[in-house]
Amino acid sequence: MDRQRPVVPLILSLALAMTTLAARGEEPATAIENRPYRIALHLASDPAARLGDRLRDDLIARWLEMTRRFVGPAWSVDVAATPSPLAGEALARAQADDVQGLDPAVDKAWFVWATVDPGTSQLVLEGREYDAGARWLGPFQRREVLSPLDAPRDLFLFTLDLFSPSALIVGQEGGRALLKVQGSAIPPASELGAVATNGTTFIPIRLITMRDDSIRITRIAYTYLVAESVEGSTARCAIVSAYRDPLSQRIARPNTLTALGIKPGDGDLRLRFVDRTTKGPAAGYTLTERPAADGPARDVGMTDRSGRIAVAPGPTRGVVKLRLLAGDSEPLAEFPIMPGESQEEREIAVDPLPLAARYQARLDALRDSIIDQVALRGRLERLMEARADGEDWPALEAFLKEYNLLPSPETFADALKKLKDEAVKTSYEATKTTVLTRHLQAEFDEIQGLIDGYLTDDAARAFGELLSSQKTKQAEAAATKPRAPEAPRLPPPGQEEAAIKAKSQPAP
Amino acid sequence: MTILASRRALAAASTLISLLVAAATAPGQDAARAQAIVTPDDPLASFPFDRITLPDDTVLLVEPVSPRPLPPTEPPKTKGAARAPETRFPRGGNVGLPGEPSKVEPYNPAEKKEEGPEEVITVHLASEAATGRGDVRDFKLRRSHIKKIEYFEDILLEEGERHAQARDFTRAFEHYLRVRQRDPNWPGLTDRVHALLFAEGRQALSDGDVSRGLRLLRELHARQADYPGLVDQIAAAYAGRIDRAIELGLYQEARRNLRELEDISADVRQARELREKLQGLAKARAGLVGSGSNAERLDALAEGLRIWPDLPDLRAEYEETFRVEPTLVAAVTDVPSPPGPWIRSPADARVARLLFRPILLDDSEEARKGERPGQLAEGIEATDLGRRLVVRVRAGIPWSDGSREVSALDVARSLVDRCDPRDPSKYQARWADLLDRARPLDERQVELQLKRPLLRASSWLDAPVGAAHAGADGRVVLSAKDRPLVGSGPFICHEATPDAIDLRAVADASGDASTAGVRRLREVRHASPAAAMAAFIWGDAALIDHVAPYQVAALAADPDVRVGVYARPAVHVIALDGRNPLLGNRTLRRAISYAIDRKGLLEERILRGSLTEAEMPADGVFPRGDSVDAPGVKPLEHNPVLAVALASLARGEMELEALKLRLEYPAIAEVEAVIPRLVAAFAQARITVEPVAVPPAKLESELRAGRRFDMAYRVLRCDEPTLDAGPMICPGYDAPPSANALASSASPRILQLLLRLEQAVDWPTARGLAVEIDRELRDELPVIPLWQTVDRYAWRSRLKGPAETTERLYDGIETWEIAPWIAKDPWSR
Repeated sequence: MDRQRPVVPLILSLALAMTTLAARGEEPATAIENRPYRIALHLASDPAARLGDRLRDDLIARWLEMTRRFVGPAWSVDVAATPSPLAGEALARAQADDVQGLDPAVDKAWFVWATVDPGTSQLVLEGREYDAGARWLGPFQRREVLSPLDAPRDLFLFTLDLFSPSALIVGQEGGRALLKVQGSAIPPASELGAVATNGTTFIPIRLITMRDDSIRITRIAYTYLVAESVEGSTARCAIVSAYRDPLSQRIARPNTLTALGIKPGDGDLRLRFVDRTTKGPAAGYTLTERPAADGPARDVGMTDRSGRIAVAPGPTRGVVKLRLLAGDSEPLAEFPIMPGESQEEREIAVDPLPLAARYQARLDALRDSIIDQVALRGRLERLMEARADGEDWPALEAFLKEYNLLPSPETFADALKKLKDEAVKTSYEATKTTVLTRHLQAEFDEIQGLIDGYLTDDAARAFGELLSSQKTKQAEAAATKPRAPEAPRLPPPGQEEAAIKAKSQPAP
Repeated sequence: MTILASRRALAAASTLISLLVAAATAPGQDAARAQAIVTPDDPLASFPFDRITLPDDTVLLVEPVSPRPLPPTEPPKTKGAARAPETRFPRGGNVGLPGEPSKVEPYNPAEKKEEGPEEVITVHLASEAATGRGDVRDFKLRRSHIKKIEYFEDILLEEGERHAQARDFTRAFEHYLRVRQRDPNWPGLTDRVHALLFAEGRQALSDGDVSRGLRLLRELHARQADYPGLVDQIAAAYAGRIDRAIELGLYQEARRNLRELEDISADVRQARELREKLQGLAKARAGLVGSGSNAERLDALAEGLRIWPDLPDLRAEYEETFRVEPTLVAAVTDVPSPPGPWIRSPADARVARLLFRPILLDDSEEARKGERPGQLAEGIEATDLGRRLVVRVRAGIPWSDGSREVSALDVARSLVDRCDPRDPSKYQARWADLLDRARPLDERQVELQLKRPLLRASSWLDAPVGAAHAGADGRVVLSAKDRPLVGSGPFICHEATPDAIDLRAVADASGDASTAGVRRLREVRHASPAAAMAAFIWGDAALIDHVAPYQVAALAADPDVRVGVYARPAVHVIALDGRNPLLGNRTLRRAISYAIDRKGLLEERILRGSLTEAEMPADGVFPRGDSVDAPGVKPLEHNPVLAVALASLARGEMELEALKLRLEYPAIAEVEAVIPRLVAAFAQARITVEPVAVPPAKLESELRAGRRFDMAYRVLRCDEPTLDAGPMICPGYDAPPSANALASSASPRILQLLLRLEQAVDWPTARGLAVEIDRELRDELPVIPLWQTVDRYAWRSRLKGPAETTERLYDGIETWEIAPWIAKDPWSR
């Protein structure tokens, strides 16, 4: 890849120019970073929105004024006199193939449907962007217009939400992707008009030239490029992907990598998880979400009987990482995704890891019993400490006996070892599913650490030694006490007189 | 006055000290008395004393004199009698000669006659000036020098009377009680006590405390029946009480009061009038027969006889009508409300089979071949490895509205309705996931396409089938008010209210009822389990659907009562809602489990005896000894120390100040008995739990619909563990997806196993998974297992037919027979 870097940008520029402009019958005269976006606005309205011709014209005129003031020449907007039928109630469910009859000269088309919220009766703008080069219909966006007087400003903000910059992936450096963003060299009229800024997110798209010279457009799944810095017309992007090398050039056919901006949508993401082996639904699994870079995880929900789950946009307005968990913690799948980027259902095959989940449950039970032991031991240790401080040795001895009745740490260590051996054996026997997952191995290590760190007999041993030393002291004290003189032994019955005589006689 | 003093200082001091010590340690009045030794103003708190007035009006407080009361003083003797006998000297003088003994008779004070209490008494001053305490010296006081003596008892009586007049009856009673303790036969005590009882009773009546007033007056009546004005007072009070009971419809209470009044005085005017009033009411009620149907006439007669059972004419008429319309009244924990072609609670399950025939009665080969009566299927054919079923519907089974016969369309609609999440009363998520398509092939055949074969067909096809031409609630509209429930079972629903349901046997073409012995079944839900049991014991109900374990011994001792056993034991658990983040916390769940002393509570509160093989603490949701009961599962321990520690740990994990939860429980006798102890156990672990009683059917139907809760006490009965595991562990397991009830499983691991079990297509896999669930449930604790008990029901001997052991309460009701019977009052039996 690095070897090809000097020539790749040129090739890609040419390829993109060929693929995107050839259809328009234009000559590639301008570099991509200097080329403005030719945008067609298809604005249609629901009769309930009461947006007449005069109001519509006024709205568009004022909106165009704002685009000139805030964005500048980067947007070259053309308002379609007759809006596309796609701009309507079915816009949310529309597919890219449904887009027909567009002017081949435009880069992007915005389909905007002005309607009324049935709940609040407020004017609502709904819309999607279509990128002609990538043939990509962007996420569904929605914005409420709080006041009709403010409609041009809301429409402007709404079109900012719709707008997604296009770019060429010109290379990789230090694990980052380098993107040449269209129109990025055109000075914006204001900060709002910058086509790419830090945090702008792109999806990589591969344009593959097939044998019949047709271009196949393939999105590189579960991969996002998040701009970390924009220097001139080049954006340096972090690669957030479920794959190790998503932008690989190890492709048999000639291909070009482009990128298209993407913004979080307002609709739900619809996912369906299935068992990779049986193709049955992966039901009852917990899905969590956390920001792609880093951040706290939150529970999204649980897959239903058919393995489906709808992911509503959460607090993170950017790429998030979704993680499907078996049991409470065993990850089955983890992938990045942009909230609300599409309302089409995606099917994701996972290995439900039944054996790993079973061992996970057993490990959890073992950990519970260890925690119980730690708590019981801790309590007894505190009680023993108090008794030792108060020099209540009999009570200390009683607690020590109680302590010694608790299962020893070796019991738990043996149970853990047995469980691990069993899991290892099962992993050799099981061919269709993984048993000792990375997570499970970490759990084994953690529990071993728990046993080693918290289940020690040191305290009991110390108290035992203290008690025995105290006993020794007591015994010594008893031994050093002056003893009462021993009473003379009484002679056996019937020999008293003989004994007296013997005493009275002098010793020889 | 002659005063003789004797010094006994040492002995007296030691006695005093011992007395003081004893007084100081004595409770109550004695302790109070020790504070002030003699307090004439408060005799109740004082050491006993008598008050002596001397002729010069000097008042002495002395220790109680003896004997009490003193005998009357002797009248003054005549002079001659008073003179002492003269000393006679011997004729020869009393100076003896030398050598002779002296003839002088020495003075012998012992020969002098001792003066008795009639003349002189010995007193001790009760209060010495120096110390304020009793004086140990003896003083002799001549009776003739006493102007007046007031005994301590009389002082107490006077003080008591003063309190009684001030309506301080309690204080007055205490004074009288002290007199009684000193001398029960003290003159005047009885009269004062009687007066006190009368005054206090009358005051209680006028204050509205009729029970207390009557109790006091009855006590007085027992002591002195002819106390002036007493009978009139009692009769007036009883009359008011009986009138009030009649107004409230408490006729049994009215009769009991009337009986008590008649025991006091049968001839009193009010007793005669009230007797006539009750009898008149009974006859009037018996005459209100409504439309005049047998059932209404029977109800009217029964109501009349419940007002006054001893009316021979009404009884005879009642028995005659009963023979025409044999009616079984059952006291139940809860009634289905409303009844319909669905099973949302145990009450629905109990009644549904009487109103609606299922497709299959059971999983036997006979049932599959259509040889079992009481089911809709004439036969079932399975093809495509069990994924395609064709159900042939039996001909000639009419709907209760007489519109048409049960057809394949009805069966298909019922099966499809169970897949509609918009109707939570019928929706069954597992069935919705299982059924691919159901369509009638013709008038008599229904084809079912399933996504996987059924493990046990009867478990899915035993649900009630409603009429396709009826509404979602199973009823048809005949008029604005008349919306009968259309069924196909042996009974039709005549009337249903939240407190009772009235079922009538369906008449066949010949006009004969489908059930010979019981043509009418009335289920009555009482205000409380105790009221239900009281109705059964009294005899108003001939059958009771649930008997708490601790009630069994008492019922079994009654020769008129039989106790039966349900084939399936009841497993008591506390369901947890994992949607509450608190209960999703594993540490807290373990704390809850450790806090419960299962064995102790079961023995003390539920069994009130020792454990048996069938009644013991549970370690899961499956009964002990079941085929899927995992062997070697350690019993759940009770460890309050760990409970406190884990609850504290959970509080720390969740960063909460306090753990507060709600525990909803069904109003069932044994559950009500144990809930306070459970709450106390949780409180000991510093988990604040608020108990909330909910009618059993309401609680269960709401839980099954996926309603959110914190903790819910459930009594589970398991037919087939592999199929019932889900709803037993996760109450909303079959709820519509909108309720998000699957998330209520507090353990994701157990939920995953349950969903895998649901997908199992063969018995070994299913049983293996069920055993795994049972084993892991002990540690995962998605529910808190409590104990398992034998579930019992009882019936009176006038009902013939119920089995000693049964699957369902009304199994075999077609052959039951019941005799007429109206409870008589115990005093008239």
